[in-house]
Amino acid sequence: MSAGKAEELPLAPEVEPALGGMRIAAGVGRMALTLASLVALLALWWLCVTWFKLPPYILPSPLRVANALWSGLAVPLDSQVGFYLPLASTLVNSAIGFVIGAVLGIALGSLMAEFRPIETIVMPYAFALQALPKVAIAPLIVIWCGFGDGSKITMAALLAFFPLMVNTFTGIRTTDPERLALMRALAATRLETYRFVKLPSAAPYIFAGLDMGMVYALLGTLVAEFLGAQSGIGVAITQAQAVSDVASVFAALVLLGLIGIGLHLTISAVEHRVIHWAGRHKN
Amino acid sequence: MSQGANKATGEDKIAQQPLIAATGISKVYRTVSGARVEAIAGIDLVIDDGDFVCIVGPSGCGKSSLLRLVAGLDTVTSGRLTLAGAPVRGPSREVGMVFQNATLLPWMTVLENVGLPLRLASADPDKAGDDDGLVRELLGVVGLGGFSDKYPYELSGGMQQRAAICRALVRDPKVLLMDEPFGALDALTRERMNVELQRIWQASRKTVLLITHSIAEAVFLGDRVVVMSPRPGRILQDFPVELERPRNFAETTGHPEYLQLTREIRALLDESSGEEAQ
Ligand SMILES: Nc1ncnc2c1ncn2[C@@H]1O[C@H](COP(=O)(O)OP(=O)(O)OP(=O)(O)O)[C@@H](O)[C@H]1O
Ligand SMILES: [Mg+2]
Repeated sequence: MSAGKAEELPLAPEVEPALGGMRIAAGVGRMALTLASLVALLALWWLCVTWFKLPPYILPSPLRVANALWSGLAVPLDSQVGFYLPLASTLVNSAIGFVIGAVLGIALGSLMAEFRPIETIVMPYAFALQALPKVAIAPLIVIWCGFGDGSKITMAALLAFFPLMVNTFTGIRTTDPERLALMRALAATRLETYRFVKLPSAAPYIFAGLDMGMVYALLGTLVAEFLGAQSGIGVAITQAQAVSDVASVFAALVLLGLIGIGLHLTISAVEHRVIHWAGRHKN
Repeated sequence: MSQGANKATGEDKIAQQPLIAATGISKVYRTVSGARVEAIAGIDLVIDDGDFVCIVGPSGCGKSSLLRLVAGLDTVTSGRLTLAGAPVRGPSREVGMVFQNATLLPWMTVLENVGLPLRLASADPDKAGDDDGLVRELLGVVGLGGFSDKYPYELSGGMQQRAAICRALVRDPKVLLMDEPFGALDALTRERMNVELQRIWQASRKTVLLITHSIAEAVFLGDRVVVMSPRPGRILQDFPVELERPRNFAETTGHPEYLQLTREIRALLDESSGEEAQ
């Protein structure tokens, strides 16, 4: 095995470009398929609207949505109308909430995994809270934190917190016992074991949690905005709804969808770089 | 056991003290259901500085348990176990351990993996890289010179295990403990690793305690081969191996003493595992 592999290794660079080319070809193929399905969906949507003569305040045609999207985007960045200001507000609040929730989630998940008493004390509440649909707490949060950014950040943090706490806990607890034995044999301190072995072991779980938590943070901010805030994309949606401008509602949803995809891809890219070793065969 | 007389000579004569001395040690595990599992029972074993001792025995006879005790990863249930005269109370810097799986950390490069023990022992573990020179030198010795910046998944099984041996040696311990280090490798790689290990041992003169399932490997590598009984593990016999060094597979495995020893050990193992059914 060693002999064979050692002699194979220098070949690797030659093999790679061909493999890379194949990978790109496969990627282009998949992209084409995705695009085709999108076009088909838009066509179906358009057909439904014209066939059943749906009024625009029920289901606007794709063209109307595109129009609304364009008029919301074709304004100066600091314009009082259009999507930019509400979007910026929503994204900033979600991001702040996400970071707070993620940091607290990773910290509490780690503490629970490391210290049994903390686990014993916190676990029942954690599970109870997790079972609760946290969106239902939003009115309470608004009472406590007001209609400003405080409520939005709190909701975002609250929703991002749980997937990270649970995933960090699970990730640390499933650390390979052999790696722990190694650290013990090396007389590593508890902190060293956490830092060099447990936290990296949990990294794939933590990234999965970040991926989920990010969407949840956005959701949390939107819910808080729905409950009577002054700014944000959630406010833009409720305002459009109030005047039956369904096309603008759709346009906002499209934007949120695109942002969600963009954030997911960003996290995936970071994950790929940071934990490039994950999923490769071990030993 | 043959040096059993040494251990009574008193602790003041440090020069003559065996490096590892086990006196009647036993280990009893408690299972989750509360049952007692006697892994090893009353083992006496004395290992001198610089010895290469191999342990063979049937699966589940307590070989790993014994090694974990010496490594300070577990505590003896009864008996006395000393390392360089002092009772074993926990993991020691004087002991390097190699597991059956290489157990390299996949998020660290080979260089970082091998340097980890130094980093842990240093005052400031954030400052990696002080000992890179030493680590690179060691990697060169085992033929991994060009692989220090690779990640473990880029290495073959044999190369990973060589890196793991480097990691065990990097703090320059007195004792190297190896629990079936080559068990996961194919026969050919395994033979090459045996020759390699012998070379490393001859150069460094560590005391080595190696567990293996392979009688051939045990006789090829060891100054002594200790044969254990089925669980609860006891020592059946301690065979001295007087084959000349450096040994190589072509000559050593055809040597009459080698053949004689492997036959005797196999017979002893067969006989004892027959007893098990009693
Ligand atoms: N932590 C534990 N708790 C309970 N029983 C254990 C524990 N560790 C080992 N044992 C038992 O002790 C006995 C000896 O185990 P050990 O791992 O030392 O055997 P071994 O000789 O290394 O076997 P193998 O050759 O298969 O590796 C086995 O019967 C095993 O089931
Ligand atoms: Mg074992």
